[in-house]
Amino acid sequence: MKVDYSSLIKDVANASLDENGDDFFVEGYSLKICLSYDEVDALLSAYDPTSSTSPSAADSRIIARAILNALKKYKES
Amino acid sequence: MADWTLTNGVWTLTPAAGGSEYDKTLTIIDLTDGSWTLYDPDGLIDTTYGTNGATFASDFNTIQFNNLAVGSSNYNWVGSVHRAPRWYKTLTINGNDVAGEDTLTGVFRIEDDDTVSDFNRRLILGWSEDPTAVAASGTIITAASYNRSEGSAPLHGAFSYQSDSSISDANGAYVVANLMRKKYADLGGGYYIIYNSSDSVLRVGTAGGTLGFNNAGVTMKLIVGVGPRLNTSIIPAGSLFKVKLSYLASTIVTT
Repeated sequence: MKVDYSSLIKDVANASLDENGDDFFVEGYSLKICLSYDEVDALLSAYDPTSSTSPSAADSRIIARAILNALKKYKES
Repeated sequence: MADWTLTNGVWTLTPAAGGSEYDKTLTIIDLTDGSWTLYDPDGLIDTTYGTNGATFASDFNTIQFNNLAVGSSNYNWVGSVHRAPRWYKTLTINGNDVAGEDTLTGVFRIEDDDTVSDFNRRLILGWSEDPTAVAASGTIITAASYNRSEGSAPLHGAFSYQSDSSISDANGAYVVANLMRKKYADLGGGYYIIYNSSDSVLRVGTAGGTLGFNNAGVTMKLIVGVGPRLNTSIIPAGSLFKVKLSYLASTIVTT
């Protein structure tokens, strides 16, 4: 999993629908995340949306750290 | 070699096929020139004002609204319901109506006059497959976009289907968006540039497209859609929206 750092911009407003079909409006940062087929298969096979403890801490950190590291670098640059 | 063609008594110089063109100018949109039809399913436009709710002077259209006391997701263009007011007309290029199957490319420019800032507003300018539909699945819109809250920086960007992506910049004066679409490939935005009032580039952005729509046999329309910025935005009666709109469109033979 990689964040496309060149795609990271701020002051962007995205108004659209979420995965539940609900309107959202978010103004702030926008970035693109790139995942391989294998990564998506592995993450989804281990994910149970009905469980409050899913995804695992390890899987969560993979996703969160990629995003947070990109945002941290952007904010500090 | 360029060709002269006669359409409805008007001679038009058409560039030779296959060539590129230098310093093309955009066509200014005048909503009062008689070629545009207003479709406003819930009566948000004050049609007692000007011509069908709009006046035109010095390249700017001024639109007057009725009261919208309670905000609604029906009117901000984002999302699946499209009940906001819109002007539309058939997109004709060199005398030819444009079909949904044509590969269509174009440049759209939006310049708001921010000395007139009566409400939190949104505008789209682009193409629609059916501008009289009231759902995103029918309107099938690809457009440049503008939105602004009173007292805040303007946002310029692009719109596709039911989503808008825009960038905020306090010095943003106008946006020029390069759009492309074809049946099955409602590709919105592609790329947009936000300029300041000195015509210098401030920001650039992209907006993703949406695949998979299949309205058969449509004739493409130009659309100017207006409304409140968010689903919570209201419109005081008599609010004005003053904006300069222009475009350039071409069909492309891709084979």
